[in-house]
Amino acid sequence: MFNKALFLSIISVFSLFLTKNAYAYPNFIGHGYNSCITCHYNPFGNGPINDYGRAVSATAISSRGFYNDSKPEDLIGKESGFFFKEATSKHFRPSASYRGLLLKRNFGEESEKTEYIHMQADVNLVTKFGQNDKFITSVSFGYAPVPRSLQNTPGADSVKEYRTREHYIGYRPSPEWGFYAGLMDKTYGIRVVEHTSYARTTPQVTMDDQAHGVTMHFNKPQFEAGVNVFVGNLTQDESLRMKGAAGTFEYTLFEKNRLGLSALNQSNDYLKLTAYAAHIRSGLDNGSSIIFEVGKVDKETKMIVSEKTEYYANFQNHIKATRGTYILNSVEYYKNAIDKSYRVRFGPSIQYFPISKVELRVDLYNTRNFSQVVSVKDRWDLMAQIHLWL
Amino acid sequence: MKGLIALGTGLMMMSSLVCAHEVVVKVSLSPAGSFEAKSAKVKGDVKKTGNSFTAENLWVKTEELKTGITLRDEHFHKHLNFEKFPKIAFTQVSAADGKGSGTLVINDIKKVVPFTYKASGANKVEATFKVKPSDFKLKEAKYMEIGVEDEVEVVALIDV
Amino acid sequence: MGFNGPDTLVVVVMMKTKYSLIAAFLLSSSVMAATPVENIKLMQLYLDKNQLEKVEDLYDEEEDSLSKNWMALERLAISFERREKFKEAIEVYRKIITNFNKPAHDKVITTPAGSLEASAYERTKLPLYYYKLAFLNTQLFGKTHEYSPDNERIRFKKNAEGFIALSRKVKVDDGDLKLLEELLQEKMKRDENMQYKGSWYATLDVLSWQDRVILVSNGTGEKSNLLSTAIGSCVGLGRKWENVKYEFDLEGCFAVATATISSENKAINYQQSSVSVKGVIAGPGMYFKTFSENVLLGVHLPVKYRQGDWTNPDETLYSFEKLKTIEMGYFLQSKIKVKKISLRTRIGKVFPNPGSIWSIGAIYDF
Repeated sequence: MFNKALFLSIISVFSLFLTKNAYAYPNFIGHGYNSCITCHYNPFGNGPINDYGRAVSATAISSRGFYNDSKPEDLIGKESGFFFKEATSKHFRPSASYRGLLLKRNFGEESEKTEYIHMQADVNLVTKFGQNDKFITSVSFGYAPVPRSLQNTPGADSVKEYRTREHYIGYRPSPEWGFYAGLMDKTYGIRVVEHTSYARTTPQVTMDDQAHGVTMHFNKPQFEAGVNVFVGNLTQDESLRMKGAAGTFEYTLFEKNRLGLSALNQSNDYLKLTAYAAHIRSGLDNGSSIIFEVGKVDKETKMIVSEKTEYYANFQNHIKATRGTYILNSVEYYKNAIDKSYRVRFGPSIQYFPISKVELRVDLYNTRNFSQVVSVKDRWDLMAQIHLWL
Repeated sequence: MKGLIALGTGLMMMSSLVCAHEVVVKVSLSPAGSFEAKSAKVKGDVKKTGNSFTAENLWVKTEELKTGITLRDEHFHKHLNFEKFPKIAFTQVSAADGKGSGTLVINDIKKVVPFTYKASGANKVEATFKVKPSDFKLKEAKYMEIGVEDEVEVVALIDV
Repeated sequence: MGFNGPDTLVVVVMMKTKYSLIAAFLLSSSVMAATPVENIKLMQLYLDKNQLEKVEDLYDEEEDSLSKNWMALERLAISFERREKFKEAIEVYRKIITNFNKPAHDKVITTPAGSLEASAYERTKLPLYYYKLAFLNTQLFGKTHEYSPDNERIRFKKNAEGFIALSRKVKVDDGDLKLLEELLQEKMKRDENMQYKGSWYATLDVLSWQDRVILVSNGTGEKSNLLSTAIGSCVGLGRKWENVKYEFDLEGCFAVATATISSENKAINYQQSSVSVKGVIAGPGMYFKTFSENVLLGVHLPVKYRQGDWTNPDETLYSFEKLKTIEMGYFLQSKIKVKKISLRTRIGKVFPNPGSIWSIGAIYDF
């Protein structure tokens, strides 16, 4: 209890000391980009990136080590388009993306298990029309593995391996307002790319938890807000569809520092889930950042009536070593209020963008269970990821 | 002995002449986002008389303003027409009791700009003012459909 | 009288040929020009053709006559400058000032800046020479490094500052002088940043580790491994020495934790929770600041002493091994600094225990 309070206090107090001299992927706030909409078509991040996002990815985030020294940055920016070409069409933006993961569970133990997972292989088409591209549509389709929780269960039949995880239409009458309708991620919490993070799994907002609904986005330099009302994923059995609403609000404390609050309420025939979170995203000098989210999730099962409360916290620091190379440090906390046990996961990672459109990443996670009943050996997991996009 | 006097005089003169001022230009993007262009190489002398300050000419080389991303620096400098006008200057500055004004020179256009200031630690003041790029005949900046708002905030930290 | 036709062409060719012959004559290194004036012209030609060593060779051979001529000395200084032999160039300029401009130079250094009139020096090239000396000393100072003798560094800096002051007195362009002053300041800042500065700091961490404790059966001698998972806090103090690139430190902290302990195998049934565990973790560490002043990565090599109040189920039957231990390990650590406060995360191992040791905490710099 004391240690949890101390842990949270240290992070929170430290965050308060982040003054204006301190000196998305949401951690790219370190480059001065507070809001996801600067680089993404989806105003809350994830999904395809726009022309500016591609150029930033190529000229600020990716290394230029494989380019000739004399190649101008402008040219690298222009080549960030689809198939390395500058976009010529005003209205169509195709893209393709692949993520593969080599996973070694219980790394270094006798029970070590290795598998390779094709996490994502899809294509996307964004169309945009109107002054300032106020009308947009985005459709993704491709391969996505059946969620682990459903594998080898009857529920697996309701999920196709080739499917769409995002498709929507959007209307932005002004730079401040946006309205979207379709299948999208729920607007809750920091949309970290690590979908196995407790901050994503506990409130059930992971890579397969998109829902059909409508989203409103409001954005000003001082603050940003989103409200999302959804009716579940319409491709699922009706009983499984999570219906509800989510909202998120972020306030700009000062340059490159945002405080946020989120709430989520959703239910289906089996489960009712309510979640609340608070978070901080802070850009440091030189493109580095820290993010911290803490949340509480109440779950109520309906078939056999029971209630449980879960808590989570996710801290991540994202250090820009050089252009193209980032060192990450994650500390996560998960607690199940039923039996007072909790889990802490430590994860150093290296993220390397050798060239535009290529990302390589290695994560080493140490998970430790704390229980009043039994002491269990740590678990180490090693992950190596490749991400390619066009 | 005379050589020593000369050198000593030189030393004293030097220490009062080389001041380190800083400036941060806060730029808002449209539809969303922002960035800062910073420099710690602002030159010029500030004279303090009692509670008032004057400066003939505070200036910074446009190329010394850095945004943290190389391509963004290149665009920023080009937008400010740095090749033709390599310096941005703030001339005939006078201030007292928390307020002041000076003539801002950008792109060879001069405009009188008021500012407010406050003490910031020992021997430093922080001055703040807002500027419209369009007032200096700077063209609208846009890159890959992301534009720049027509108002930037300037915060200068001046040695006094 | 006009020039026309083939006669003109012949005259032009003859004239061109004449100058070529003179040039060839002058250029021939085996034929030395006789008079100082001709030697100076030859030195200038060598400078124009960037044959700098030949300038110096010629001066060496004709030093007796050329050393009495300021124009020859000037060309010699320029050749030294271009070859970045700054010390040699400085000596030559000093000679020019002392041997050919002494009265004016004395007037400049003895007259206060406000009273000095241009007539005292305007017929000389003192402004150029002062500027050159300021520039050359600035360059020499800029090239000093950690292995340069201290007296040399100080001398270059003092001379640079002194000649900048003299240049200012004789109205050398202020922009040029400010540039030199900037170069000096930047170098001084770089040097200062490389100096190690010591300071104290306090730490407060949330810390967790896993210990192996061994329960020994007194009768059979059979050993059973117990695994203890502890989490607690660690309060400490440290001393660091840092410059702009690295930080070295020595720190220690006192840890108070609670642990859950249970048997690692099913042979015995042992379990206890909320066990009080105390420890001291101390050792040296270092950080690299290669990425940024405020984001540091490094390693720490702790020595860990710990003791725990695990309950012996029956002291007549069992005893503990490793109730108190001193062990060594390593941490990989990262630190993010914001003014006087830093956030630090560490993960590592203390041998021979299973599992990792990790901490997350704050540091306050005094």
